[in-house]
Amino acid sequence: MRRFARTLWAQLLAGAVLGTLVGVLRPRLGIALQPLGDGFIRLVRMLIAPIVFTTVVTGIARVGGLRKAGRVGLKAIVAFEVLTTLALLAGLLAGFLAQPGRGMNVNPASVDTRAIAGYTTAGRALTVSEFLLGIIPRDVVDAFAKDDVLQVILFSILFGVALGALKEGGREVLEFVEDLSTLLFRVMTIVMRVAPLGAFGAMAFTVGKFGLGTLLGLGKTLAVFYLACALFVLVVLGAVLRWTGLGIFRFLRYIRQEILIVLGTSSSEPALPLLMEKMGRLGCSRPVVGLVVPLGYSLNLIGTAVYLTLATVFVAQATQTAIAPWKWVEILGVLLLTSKTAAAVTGGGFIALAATLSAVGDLPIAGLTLLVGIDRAMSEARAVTNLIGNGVTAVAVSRWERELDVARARRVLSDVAAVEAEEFEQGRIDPKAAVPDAADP
Amino acid sequence: MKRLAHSLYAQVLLAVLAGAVLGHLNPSLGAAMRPLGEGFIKLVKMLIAPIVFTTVVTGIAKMGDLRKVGRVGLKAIVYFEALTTLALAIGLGVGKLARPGAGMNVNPASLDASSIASYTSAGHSMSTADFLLNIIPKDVFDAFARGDILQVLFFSVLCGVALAALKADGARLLHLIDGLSHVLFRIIAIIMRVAPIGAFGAMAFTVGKYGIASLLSLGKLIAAFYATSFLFVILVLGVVVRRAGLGILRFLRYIREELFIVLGTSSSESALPLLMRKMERLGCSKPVVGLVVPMGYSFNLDGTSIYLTLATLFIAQATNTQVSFGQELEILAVLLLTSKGAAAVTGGGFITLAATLSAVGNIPVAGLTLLIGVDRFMSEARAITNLIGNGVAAVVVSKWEGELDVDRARAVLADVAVVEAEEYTEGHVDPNAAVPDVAGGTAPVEGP
Repeated sequence: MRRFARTLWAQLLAGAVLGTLVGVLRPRLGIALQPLGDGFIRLVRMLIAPIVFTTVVTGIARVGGLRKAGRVGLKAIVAFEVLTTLALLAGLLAGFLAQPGRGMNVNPASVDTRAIAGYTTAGRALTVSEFLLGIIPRDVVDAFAKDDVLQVILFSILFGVALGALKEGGREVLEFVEDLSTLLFRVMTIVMRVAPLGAFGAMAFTVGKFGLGTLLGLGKTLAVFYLACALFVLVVLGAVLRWTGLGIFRFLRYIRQEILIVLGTSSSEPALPLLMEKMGRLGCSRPVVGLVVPLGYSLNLIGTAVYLTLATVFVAQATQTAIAPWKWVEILGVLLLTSKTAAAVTGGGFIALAATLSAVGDLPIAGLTLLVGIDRAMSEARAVTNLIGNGVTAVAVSRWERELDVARARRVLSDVAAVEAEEFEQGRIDPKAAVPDAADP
Repeated sequence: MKRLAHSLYAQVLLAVLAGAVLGHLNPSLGAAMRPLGEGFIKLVKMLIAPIVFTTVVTGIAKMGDLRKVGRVGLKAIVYFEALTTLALAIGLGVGKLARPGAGMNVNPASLDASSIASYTSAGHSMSTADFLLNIIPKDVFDAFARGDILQVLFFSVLCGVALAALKADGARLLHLIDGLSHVLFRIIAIIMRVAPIGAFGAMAFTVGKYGIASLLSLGKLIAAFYATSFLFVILVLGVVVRRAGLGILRFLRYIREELFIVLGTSSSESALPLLMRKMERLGCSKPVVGLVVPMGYSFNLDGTSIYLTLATLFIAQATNTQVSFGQELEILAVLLLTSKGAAAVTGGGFITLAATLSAVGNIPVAGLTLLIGVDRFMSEARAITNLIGNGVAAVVVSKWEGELDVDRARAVLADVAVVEAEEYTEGHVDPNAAVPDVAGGTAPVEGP
């Protein structure tokens, strides 16, 4: 019991539950606790760009070279495309089967659109060449200063490949970057001590501000979305994991810390560094994790994809807009693009949705107003699904590269608690350490 | 032949030609190629600040002496002043003799000045104190993030001097920065693989968007400018290089890769890292190259200088504005200042021109409209002349410091192709490597 209370996972859970209670009982106090959640998210975010840099560089320089990086990148993008397309289809299917917006009979003209003005103006989808040019930083340091993860990845790949090509000549720099990586992950460990506090504050704020009441108002939409996400994770991602030889439930239990952090803060970024080291510890190869996870945070938004089609169907049904079947194909095509380029714009899913609705044309953008109130609750499920999707993709691409140590992965998955407790006691987050020492099972 | 197709310079040349042909035959498709050129320029530009930093710091730390840094900097500035003044005077002289704008009889009131509004509003030139203060960054990282070369240079010089003063205590850090420099140059080598694509896209865009026909409309001005730039390089820079013991034609052949990249992208920044590396390989001392070349990108704009006076006179002639000899001297004096301060403002030559015209007063600023259509073509020649001028400056200041290895330089110049091919096949961009092994200045004779 004492050991249980000392795991980060248990503390996080306690923080989130307490936060919910405060939000329900004392909504105003809950709202006032917002800085705790924001503070925690900022603490993690400030480390993301350098952590991505050091992880990608060491991963590529140690094992890689340009050809390897190219192959892994390509495989990752193929995996992203397949998974997000499936997710878009799943959302569409869920919308058609469950009909969450049916019978609402909303007249778009009567809706007050002021609440969404900020989203619709920002919602201009980038063109493909704008998006690609945007990946090249104005200056290398600027990429880090603006915290643009895609730009940082581009530079990191180039840096890692160059370092790998220099061989002996680059040893000193490589060792330095490795030291830096160890240091940053240690800083991360320190920051994670306050994660329960952050989850507490963010949860209290969410519940206090939006209340459990709003959830019930659009309960059907929410329920359908949560269910669709759950089914997608269990069925589709479960099948993918099964192909690699692992079980989805054990996998979810393995990353429960990360899931709770994301759930508490309703942002998937705070868990990025943790997810990277956990996938490394699981037995995924380092260059694969270094590339797939950060890339996936921009390009592999599975939960967002489910949300986008489902919300589109919802708006069409609620406003009683008839959409021809072939039109759905067009919407799917538009979403395939906007769901990727949206990552480059801040504001995430909601802006992508606005951009899609305006690109398609037939659907009233005013329908978005219906969703503003529950967006925070939606974004919980979006973020958690995105997180799980990225973890699973890292495992799958590792397997595809034949660099997944399945025996080790099974061993780690079967004894999560021991690994976690050990790591917590040691204050360690080193990807190479803290695997229980076991001979072949 | 196979070897030729393998060298970067041949690929870039082919790409430039292909781009020009595409832009000419299918202008709209050519104009659509723009992102290719832009992407390439951005790829190189993102590395310029860190490359300048690592090169300057290691150069100065190895040179080891603040007094020497000051001396090299001072010599560079003296040389820059002399050359740009000469270039301004030559542009003025050519403008007076060739009279490229005579007979155009343009009425400035009839010109639509809206297309140049953004240039004229940005074009207030800075006071000297502002300019100097601006060399000090608000924050060190801010200087890097904004890619402000002068600010980065300032900080790098301080770092290098401090590191040298630390002697053994700074050895580890110096080693690390040196290693970083190698990594960055290796990244440049990777990026240069796509230089042909960038040159192709940029050239297709230029020709497709502005068209070869636009060249003819101001043919006389363009011809005068190109001819002047050419003669400036061959005669003035030729004499300067000769004093250092080298020949200009061989020198140009040595930096042909850089020339084609600049020609393709019409941006001299895209060749800055390559130029630095090449000048070191030629036998210039590393600290001198580290200081002179980045500084020169702000202060030693020979091509821009020629353009500024020539264009000023062109506008005066085209609008039938009388310019007295006294005013010509005034223009020269104003330009001596504005042409330096301009480097700190983005947009380069055109903004400086706007600032100068408003400072002088009686030449109508609206006359700039005449030049806007051909500015892209002018900027090709400006950028190339600036590039050559900076290379020559590095050679001259090295020689002046008594640190030019003339024998080595001659040997390298005599056998460019071998050096290039070797470097390309090895993927080498190490400044200290890939020089043919010469004993006592006898160049290995091999190949064509």
